[in-house]
Amino acid sequence: MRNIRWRAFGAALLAFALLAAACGDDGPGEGANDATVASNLVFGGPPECPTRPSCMIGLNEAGIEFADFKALDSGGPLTSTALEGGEIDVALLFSTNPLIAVNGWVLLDDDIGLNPVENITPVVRTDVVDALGADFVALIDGVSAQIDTAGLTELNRQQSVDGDDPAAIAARWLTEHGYETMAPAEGMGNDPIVVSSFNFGESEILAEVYAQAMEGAGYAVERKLNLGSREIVKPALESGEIDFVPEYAGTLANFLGVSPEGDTATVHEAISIAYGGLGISVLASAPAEDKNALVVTAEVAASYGIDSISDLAASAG
Amino acid sequence: MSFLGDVASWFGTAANWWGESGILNRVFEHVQLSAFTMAVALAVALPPALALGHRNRGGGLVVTVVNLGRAIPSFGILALALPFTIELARGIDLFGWEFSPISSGLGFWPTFVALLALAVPPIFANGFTAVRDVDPGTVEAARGMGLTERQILRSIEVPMAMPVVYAAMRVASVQVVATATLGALVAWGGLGRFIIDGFAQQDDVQVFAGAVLVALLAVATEALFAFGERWAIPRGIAGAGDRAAATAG
Repeated sequence: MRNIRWRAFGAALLAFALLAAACGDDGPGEGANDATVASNLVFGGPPECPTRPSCMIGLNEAGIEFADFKALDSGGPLTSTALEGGEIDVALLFSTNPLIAVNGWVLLDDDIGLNPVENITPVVRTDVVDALGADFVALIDGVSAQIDTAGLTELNRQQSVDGDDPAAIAARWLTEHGYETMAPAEGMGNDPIVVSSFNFGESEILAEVYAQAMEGAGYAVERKLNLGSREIVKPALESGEIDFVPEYAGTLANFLGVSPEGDTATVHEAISIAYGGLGISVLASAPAEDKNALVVTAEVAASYGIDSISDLAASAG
Repeated sequence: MSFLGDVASWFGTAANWWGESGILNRVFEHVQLSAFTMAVALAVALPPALALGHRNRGGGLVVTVVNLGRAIPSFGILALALPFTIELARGIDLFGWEFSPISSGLGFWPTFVALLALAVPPIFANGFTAVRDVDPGTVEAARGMGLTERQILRSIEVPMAMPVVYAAMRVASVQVVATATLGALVAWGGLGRFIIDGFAQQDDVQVFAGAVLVALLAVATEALFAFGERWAIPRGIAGAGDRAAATAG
């Protein structure tokens, strides 16, 4: 009697294990629905993606429905590992993530206006601009004009892949672009401009680039880098504790409660008006953007012939 | 009060129950992974534990080694397992024979590895000590009656060890159900999805509802084992169950 019970138990265990393994192993759906490119692809992004207009909601509205969505992390190591390992075909990463270049991945052009423009845009206290005049603004605008997305990605790579120091990376970039980084003997005799940054590597590198350009032109500079999130930086800027910080246009617009919709010029005008009322001047935006971006491997891009987000909605043929 | 009201209305919304990301499917996924892990853990840990307990040899060392598994947090094992499962899913080359043993290295399998490491130690350690600690006088008497070693293990030691082994299964199952929540971090479904997604979406109601569901499922698991005890523990030694459960926990 007991023997039968044990054998039955063992058999049930085995049957269950096989059944569960068979069910558990649910890989990416094989293209039963092969209407569009996206319906053959698995998309990986942060867990908040499904409820965000700038993520899944916006993609669905553009007629892009993926075969499956994997909730991973916010453009971090999990998402990039999953893309590298072929677990997902399309990843949501930050556009200036150096791994995109290192791995030869393809950043899909945002031709459906999924994400707001996120141009690097320096902001500075208006009283500092008034005191230093047009020469100062021309200097900063000149630097900004030369920072493009590819260049910014390369700066990030030097930090996160090569492990270089932000100050050294900034000095090298300025020298390459014809700027003087050593302070001239004859200074401007100004009150030090307090340059600050957010608490992540890219912001620190950008702050160093601007700070060293100012120093090279003879301005006195004081650094308060790695200050924290925007919740800390904005009040510090308003109170005059800091004078200068490189911002991100779209995110700043959201934070200031104005619409991030439209092109770079529209968003720039919106944040200029909103911040201007608080005694902060918004200087010219750099061409460089760091925003959420859909990224695919070179193999996926080649086999489906895609290089923009709208291509995902195209017929898979 | 309004928060609890929101939670109540969350549970009252039909859309939260059905479909791939509904409660029913999430419970199914959660139970599927937990039960599969327990089945494998029992199959892997119990036979050697019982055999070593019968011989009372080498088991102390094995218990120590297996228990080291308990010292590593499940989250750490999950993170360590992930690159390996992704590599396995990519395919391995065995002397020119290329194949992928698993179709996805995210989700199910890395979570399974982490949960297996959680479930095996209590089952193995309790299985070993339970058989070893069976009254030597009883075993000697059986031997004197002419039972073979195999018969002694099967009809004397294992039944007498059953209350402790069963209690270990019960404890391990509840831990596995509670910890399977972690799978949501590596794109597995299960009830952890509500907690991880709710947190990322700053949706406190969803986080709370998810936590309640995990707690309910753990309690249900406990209740299932309490019910099954009558079936699993031999009638002759049923009285010993409560005492044994207390020590095994």
